[in-house]
Amino acid sequence: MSTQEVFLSRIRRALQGRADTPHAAHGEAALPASILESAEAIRARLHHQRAALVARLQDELRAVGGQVVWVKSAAEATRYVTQLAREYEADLVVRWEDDLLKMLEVDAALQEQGVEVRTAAPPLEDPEAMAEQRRNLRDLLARADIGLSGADYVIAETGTLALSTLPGQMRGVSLLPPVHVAVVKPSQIVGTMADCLAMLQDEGRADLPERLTSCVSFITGPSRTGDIELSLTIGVHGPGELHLIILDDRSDTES
Amino acid sequence: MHLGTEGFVDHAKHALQDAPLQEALHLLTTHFAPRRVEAMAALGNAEELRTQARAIKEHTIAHLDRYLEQFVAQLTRLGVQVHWADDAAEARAIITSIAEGVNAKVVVKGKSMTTEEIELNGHLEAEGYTVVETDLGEYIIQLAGEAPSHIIAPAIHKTRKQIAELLHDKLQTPYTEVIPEMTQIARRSLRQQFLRADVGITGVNFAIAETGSVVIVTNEGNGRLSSTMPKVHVAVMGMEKVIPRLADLSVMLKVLTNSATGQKISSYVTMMTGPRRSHDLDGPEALHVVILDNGRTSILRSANREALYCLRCGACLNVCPIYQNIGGHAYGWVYPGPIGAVLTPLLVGLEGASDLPRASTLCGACREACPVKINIPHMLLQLRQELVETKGGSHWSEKRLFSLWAWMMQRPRWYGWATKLAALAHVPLAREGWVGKLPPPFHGWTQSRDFKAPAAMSFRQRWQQTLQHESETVGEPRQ
Repeated sequence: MSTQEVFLSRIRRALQGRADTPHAAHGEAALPASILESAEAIRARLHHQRAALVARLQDELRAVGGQVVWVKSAAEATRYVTQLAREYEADLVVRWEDDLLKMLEVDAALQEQGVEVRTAAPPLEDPEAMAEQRRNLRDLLARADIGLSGADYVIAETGTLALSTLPGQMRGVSLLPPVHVAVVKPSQIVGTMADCLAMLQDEGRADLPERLTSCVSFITGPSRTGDIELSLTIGVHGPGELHLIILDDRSDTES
Repeated sequence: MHLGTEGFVDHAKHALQDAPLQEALHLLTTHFAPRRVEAMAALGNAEELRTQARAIKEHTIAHLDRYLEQFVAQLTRLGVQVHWADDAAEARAIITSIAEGVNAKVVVKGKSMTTEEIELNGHLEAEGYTVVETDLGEYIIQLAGEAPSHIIAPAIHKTRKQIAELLHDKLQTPYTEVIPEMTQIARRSLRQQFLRADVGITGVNFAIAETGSVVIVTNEGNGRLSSTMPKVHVAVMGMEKVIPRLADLSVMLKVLTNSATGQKISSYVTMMTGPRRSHDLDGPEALHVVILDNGRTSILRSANREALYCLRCGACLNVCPIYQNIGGHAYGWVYPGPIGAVLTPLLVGLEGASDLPRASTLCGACREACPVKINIPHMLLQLRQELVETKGGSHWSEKRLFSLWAWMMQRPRWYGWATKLAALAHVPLAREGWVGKLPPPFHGWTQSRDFKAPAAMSFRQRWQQTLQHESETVGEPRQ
């Protein structure tokens, strides 16, 4: 097997040897300047565009087959979720550990209509219990009818949800069940992917690679394919349905 | 290495006679190309974005050693296991030993051209592993035992009927031609594989040096599942996939997806920074990144360095008049179309692929469509020049003809006579302005195409007339 040293020194030689070739006019353009806006600055800038952002987000997400609902209260959000569960005759909902979802008290409402709700708060200290949790989660996700999550940000320009992994916030919730429902607040809507990346970059305190969690999933509409005669078909491997609930209950201090 | 690149002319002839293929290609050209044009126009600043994307690639490749070093330093810090592969054989050995190390039985794969390039599947299967392609298109052609014919629509050469029969045949499921039903059959079958698999192998669309992140772009979710469910994730990347900063991702993503499918963004963009952490409940416990050279350093050294800027979006295929007529298989290797006509000779050697640089009209559509403005026609010409130089030049008659031409071009009077003579000579051969067959030694020109008969009046004659006419009407000589 090659080593880093061998591999990179070969590249170095190739880069230096360039002058010998007859057509040495390779570009070496400078990187385009990246103006790193702070999360603070982005929030301030976006605050005034909120209405336009919401409109854009709805248009974009609907255009790719996602559902967007705007609700004014936690109760309304909960009703939407329970209604969905009825519609899909759901037996099992797996959800993220998430403050916003907890606030909805959606668990009780679902259980009331006979739907099992499971979360997975990881027992951090005990590796045995952790392994057990992981196995359970796989089984749960494999048979879940609805995955219920939050999101870090929602990108208006493309109708994209950005979901970072955190304890209790698993990748599989937005991936394995046939229906994915995400609940966000208006303050989580940003304009562009560039905004979103800048927010992710500025959010934490630690060095950048640690600031990014092990996986950030950018999700835009349901899973789709055009692999058979280029005919658009929904729900290949990921969810065939994506619902975004925007909860505007004015408790959102930032907006 | 399985190479069909020398049979290009025969393959192309077959492809032109293949009715289902022609139908599929027609579908392709009327689908992707206009979508890309619309999507790029809707961006409003497409030109600026292409310029930026180009600058990012130019800069990164010019400092590739530095950015790879930074990328790998971050990977190591995150607990990712890094492997360097000089060539396809090394890459295969690395991946096989990873699978061996975890006693794997089933390996699932997300869609990846790089693993096609190293012909991974056959080797893993020979070692006794069950390898399952999970991208729907790749799954279909794996069931059929074929190779992909388009970078992003690998099964484009197969009709719905053919696929319906294939699924019915191979999976023993009820026959259906309804595409959503066929898709659900594949979903159910592949979901079982995802849950069983020990190793997930994916490609890499972007590798971010600043953060050590690996980014995968898919629509179906095959990349997400392959990198989430198995306990080991192996990401295989050509060494040119690195970009410097997290901030560069937004530009690169935009040009990639808009060019590839005309989507503003694909359904899933997955950015993985290290394996799962101790508190994560899902995700792979180990992440391996395999960095592949396989001929790329020689491209770096050559005059065709910009071939390394390619994002594998497939836009140049969709607009190419040659690809539109013959499809991907005729090119004989994993990378078809205009970029394939460049990459294949550069990666496998010009001797094995001498027809490919000639398989172009040099119309420039590929360059126009390229999200990073790769000058493909220029590289094709360069490869043709190389061919002529290494193969001891062209036929003596061709050389003689061109020296005669050069001699005449320097003598306007001779040139005038010669063109008049040529026009006269064509009169008995031409039918409705076209010559179907030229006599020797020119017969080669009309072997596979008609020759446009020279106009009755040459350009020079017409020019003379125009000048005369203008001086008469304006009444004074032009400045």
